[in-house]
Amino acid sequence: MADTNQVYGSGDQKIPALAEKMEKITDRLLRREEQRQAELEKKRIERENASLKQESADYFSSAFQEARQKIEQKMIGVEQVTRSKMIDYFDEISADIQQLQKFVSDSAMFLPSYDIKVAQEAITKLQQAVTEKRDEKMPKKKFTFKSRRKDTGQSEGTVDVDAAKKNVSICAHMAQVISDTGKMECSVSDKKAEKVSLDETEVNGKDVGLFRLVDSVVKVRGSPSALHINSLTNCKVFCGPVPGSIFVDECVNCILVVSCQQLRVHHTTDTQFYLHVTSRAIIEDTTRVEFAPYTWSYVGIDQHFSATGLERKRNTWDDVDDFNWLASDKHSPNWSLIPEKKRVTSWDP
Amino acid sequence: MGLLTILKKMKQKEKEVRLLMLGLDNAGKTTILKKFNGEDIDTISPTLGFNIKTLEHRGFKLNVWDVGGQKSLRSYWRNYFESTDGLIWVVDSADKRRLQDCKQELHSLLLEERLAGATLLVFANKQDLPGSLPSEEIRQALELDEIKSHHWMICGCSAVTGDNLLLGIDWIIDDIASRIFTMD
Ligand SMILES: Nc1nc2c(ncn2[C@@H]2O[C@H](COP(=O)(O)OP(=O)(O)OP(=O)(O)O)[C@@H](O)[C@H]2O)c(=O)[nH]1
Ligand SMILES: [Mg+2]
Repeated sequence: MADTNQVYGSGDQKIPALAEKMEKITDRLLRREEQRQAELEKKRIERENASLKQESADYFSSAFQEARQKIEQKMIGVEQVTRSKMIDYFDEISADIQQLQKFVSDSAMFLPSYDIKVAQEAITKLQQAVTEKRDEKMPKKKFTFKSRRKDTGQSEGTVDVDAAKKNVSICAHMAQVISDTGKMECSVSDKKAEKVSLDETEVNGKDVGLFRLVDSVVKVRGSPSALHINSLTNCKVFCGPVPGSIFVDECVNCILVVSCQQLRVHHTTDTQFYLHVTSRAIIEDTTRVEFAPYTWSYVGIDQHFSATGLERKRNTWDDVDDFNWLASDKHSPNWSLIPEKKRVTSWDP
Repeated sequence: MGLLTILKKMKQKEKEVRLLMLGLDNAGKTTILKKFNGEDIDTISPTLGFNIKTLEHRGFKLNVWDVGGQKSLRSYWRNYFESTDGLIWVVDSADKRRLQDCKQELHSLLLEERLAGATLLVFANKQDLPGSLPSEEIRQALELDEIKSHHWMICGCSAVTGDNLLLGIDWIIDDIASRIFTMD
């Protein structure tokens, strides 16, 4: 605009229109400064996180090296051990290796998969070396008394990271207890081929549950404090802004059109999300799920958004963390984005 | 000088306190930590590992460990027990469905030998929600009165408004300080 120059050039003129413009510009500058600060803060946090990760990786590798060297030392020490102590000595080494193995499995979650793989290979090598050494020092005689030999067989099996991970997910699955829905103030459960609507008077500020529904459609025109979605098959769920978390567990073949601060998905397959979320969504033990931006609307949704304070401008629908996918350089095969052309843009009101 | 005395002396010098914050997923642990530290709480994601924060408070150096509470992460909690001075157990007071689960996890933690000396603070979080249970009911649901092995207190709070966070943290620090740091 032609008169912007004037605004800059005439700082002490008190013409109302100009003053107003000045204010707008100061405002804008302030906002920019705020954004800049926010950006800096974000960068700082990212840096911190990165260094934290590095720290744990560093700690891991030094602790691992130390333990490994100790074991190698012991292997060299074998030559000095008397025959009668030999069995115990090897037992001790095996126990050390087992402990190291446990340390690696426990660390699996916090470390880049490459580090884990390297550590795993080192352990396998150690185990082989110990087995060879033992065979050399204690060749199996034909007539040993079985009872004299302690069973050290356990240490010989290799445990891989995949197995450790599988263990984790099996635990999660077994312990998955769906407790009584009676305790919830607001829930919809055990329905087949029904259409259910909930409004703000029923759901606002409460934890809401949807349990064991088949072929059904649920529309929640309001803001629950949290939404628990469990065991749904062939369903569609629509929900207004949730200022807390949405949990999705054991759903199959559903379409979930939801907005929330956090999304936590477990044991779910073949499901589409039309999502508004203000943090990174997470999926675990979940496959073939797809994401697109939130497209639902209803009378009063604007008011619900502003009442909950859920940021409408910030939507990280395409930034998903897969708990079962440790590699950061390759995209998880378990989730994808719905191509723009295939996205549903309007739903029944 | 025994090891314990040496440890005591070392801690005394730095007035360092190690707090371990645990609880079911979605309880609000990370939100509490960030709110307490004056950080933005609108963009917090579920924790897929842990966060450590070192905070200065009332002349103490607080090392706060916030570990993710999702079911599959709970078996890793024990990796963080060592040298914990205070355990902060965070409860989502609006999640009535999982209170039983919450009680069991807490009571099994209290059996852990490595947490034996720790002070326990229970935060009945999300008191700002109309659907939340008051701390008195949480106290009953979690059967806190059964706990004889640890010093404990329950405190209703809200990580979103910040209500009572300070109260709880101050209590746990005072309780730990009276045990660890001798007055001289
Ligand atoms: N209304 C309300 N919501 C809260 C409060 N504290 C946390 N929340 C919300 O609850 C959800 C979970 O919070 P987190 O801090 O991520 O929970 P967490 O305990 O760290 O969860 P994990 O990392 O999975 O163990 C978020 O959406 C928070 O905004 C509170 O005091 N009141
Ligand atoms: Mg967290």
